[in-house]
Amino acid sequence: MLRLPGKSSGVQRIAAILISAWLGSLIPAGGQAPAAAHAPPRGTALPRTPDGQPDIQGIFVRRGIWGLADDQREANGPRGKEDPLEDDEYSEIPDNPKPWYQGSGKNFSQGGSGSGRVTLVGPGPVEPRRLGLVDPPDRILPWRPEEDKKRREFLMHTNPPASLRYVEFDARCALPGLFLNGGPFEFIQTPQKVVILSEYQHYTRTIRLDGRPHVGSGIRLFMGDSIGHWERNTLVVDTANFNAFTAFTRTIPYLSDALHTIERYTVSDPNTIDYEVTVDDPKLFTRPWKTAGLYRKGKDFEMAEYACAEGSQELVNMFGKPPRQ
Amino acid sequence: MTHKRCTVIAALSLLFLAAPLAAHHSFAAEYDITKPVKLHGAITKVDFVNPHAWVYVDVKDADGHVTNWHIELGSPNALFRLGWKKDAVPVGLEVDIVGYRSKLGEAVANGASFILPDGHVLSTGGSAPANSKPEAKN
Repeated sequence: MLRLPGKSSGVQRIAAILISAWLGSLIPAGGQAPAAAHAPPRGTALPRTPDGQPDIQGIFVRRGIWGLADDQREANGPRGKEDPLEDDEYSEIPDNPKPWYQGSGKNFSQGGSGSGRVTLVGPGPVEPRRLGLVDPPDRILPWRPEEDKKRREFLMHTNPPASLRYVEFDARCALPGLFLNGGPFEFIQTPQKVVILSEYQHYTRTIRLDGRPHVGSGIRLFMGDSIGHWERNTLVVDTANFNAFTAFTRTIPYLSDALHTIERYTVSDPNTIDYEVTVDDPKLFTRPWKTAGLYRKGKDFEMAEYACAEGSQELVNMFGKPPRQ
Repeated sequence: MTHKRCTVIAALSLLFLAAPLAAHHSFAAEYDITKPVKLHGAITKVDFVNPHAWVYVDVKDADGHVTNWHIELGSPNALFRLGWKKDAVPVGLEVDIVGYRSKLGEAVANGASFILPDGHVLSTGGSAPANSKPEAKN
């Protein structure tokens, strides 16, 4: 608590208490990391919405959550070291001294059917972040052995796909679930909800803040059903009711309908959201695990339409032209 | 456009691709990283559609036989933000294309870059892995 020098009057003591409380509210509560590591820079007051929520609005790109390849068992593919599971396409562990997320004006680029160039705004976090798998501490994914064996066998038939069963869900223009997407994402807030718009696959994800519970267990969704609440500057989102058609990465090609996630979106500064997600899928893993990512705000970015069915040639490229056009 | 500036643009194009990519399907599901292709031909059609733009090119082989190749690019949104204009590769333009062949062996390729007649290199914003750098010049 703020202590004032010398003898203080009652008014001065009350002022000290109020100032201490205000200063405390500036420090975000982030996942397992110490709060100080994600504290906003000195002198930065985080903006709030008219109804008092920390303002999380804007268009952001996200990276980091796919960094799973520290473990050699995870890094080696079904054919061992010659067939790596985690190739550069999804290798996210930053190994250069200047991380992609630090510095304004940097161009973040997503190719493939991604967004293309996004220019980052604001300096971003001052201290480097640990991204990718953060729990368990040994960075070994806690697979059920029989499920790990099944997915490695599954992966043997994916490149190229042996049949429609082995084609990635979002290659068929399905909604991508929570993980197969680096953005850009537009966050919009109302008093009752936080809404995330995704340019990729052009979907809307609604996080209810009104305290209603999850929908009935018979309702199964690609994006799950999300309920959220604020813990200081962290939006905590509980998502359930997934169907069995989502994946985590190319090399974790399916998650089950038992999936349940807890996401923590910590507003560290007006242009940065520290992100951590707990993945709890008891059909595939022996325990929940956590991976960390980072959202950075884009400058002067306009979301565009992405209608996957407009001109998708994926199935023709994989299986050839059908006998009748 | 000087040669030096083209080299800088080519280098910058590769730099933008140095960030890990996100795509709606695995590159390796459809294309073969061990089969790079270098094509020269005239553009016959350009389709700015999602999820991938496509450019169609008539390529003549040594015997004079013409094959119409289908070249996959990034999404239209990605292309416009990488600096492509709608007439960047107009029909009739003779271009060099560097990319990777389809696993089905068809005349289909994932395009990595286009080299225009003036030497300017256009990145396709495609899904080829970041650590692959096919030669942009013959």
